[in-house]
Amino acid sequence: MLDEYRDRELSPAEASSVREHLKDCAECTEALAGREYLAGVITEAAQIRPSEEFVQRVSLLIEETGKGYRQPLQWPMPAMALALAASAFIMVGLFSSTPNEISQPGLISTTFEYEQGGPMPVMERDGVIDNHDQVLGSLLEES
Amino acid sequence: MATDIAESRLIELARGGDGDAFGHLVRRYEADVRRLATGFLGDTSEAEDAGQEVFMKAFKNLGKFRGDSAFSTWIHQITVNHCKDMLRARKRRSWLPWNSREDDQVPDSESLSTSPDEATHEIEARVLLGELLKGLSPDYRAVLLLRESSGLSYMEIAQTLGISQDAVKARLRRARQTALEARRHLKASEGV
Repeated sequence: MLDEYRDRELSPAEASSVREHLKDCAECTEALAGREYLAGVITEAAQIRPSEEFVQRVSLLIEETGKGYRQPLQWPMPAMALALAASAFIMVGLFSSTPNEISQPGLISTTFEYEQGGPMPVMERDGVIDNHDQVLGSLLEES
Repeated sequence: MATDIAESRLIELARGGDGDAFGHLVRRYEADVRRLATGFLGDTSEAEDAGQEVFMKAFKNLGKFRGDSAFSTWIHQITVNHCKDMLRARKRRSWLPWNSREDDQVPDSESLSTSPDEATHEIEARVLLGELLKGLSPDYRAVLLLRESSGLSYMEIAQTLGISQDAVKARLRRARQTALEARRHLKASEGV
């Protein structure tokens, strides 16, 4: 109750009751004085005067880091959007009939053996022939 | 109420990239943030750096501030979390003890002290505070400083730290008891 009394968190009736008690209790009065002392030390240790220099330094730092305010992305799932864009890109690539591109390891390539009526297009990744669904699944996983 | 309306307008403008509007917010909370950081870290230079970083974080994340709580609560949250991170990093570095950094011995020109005696008194108070708070975890230190340094109510402290008011009361009681116990030990050792 003493802490709440000191911090003015009691109702008027409760505060009055504590005040009455303090009149006759040296121990509680000393405990309250201790709390006042601690508050005084905390106040004394950090007497800060507002500083326009500080404000200017903050402004400068913000400018220097180049972090002009940007609206956060509104898309709930930006990763999914990226995956869809990648998928669209792949689909365009698949149907733009570009045969026999040689891939480097690690890159997705479109190596077609597609001819009209021929086998379905396949994709090569890391030297492994894969089907389109598996490669798209990998893309989604990575994103 | 007029102040609240003005602040929400400042926030709205700052979100749109208005540096002047954000500057007004910095001016409004600068002293409080630096006082809180000083209490946590015990060093005015570190506290000033912390203060700058707090406001940079606030600026970068203004878009995430939805106004569910008061802006002051949000700024206090950022300050407390940042200071806790700094204390953890300091502990990892095992640097100089909390109250023996050289910077602490240099009067802070931006403090309220106007005379060398007052400045010395302030430094002594910081050193003493360091001793009193040495045994407190960052969580207990946060409650005590939000109450005594920032003058927050129990409800405001609870909102800032995301704990119940009962937890605030319990931690505050414990923090004060621990600090006062440290004071008793100091007085006893001085008497030896």
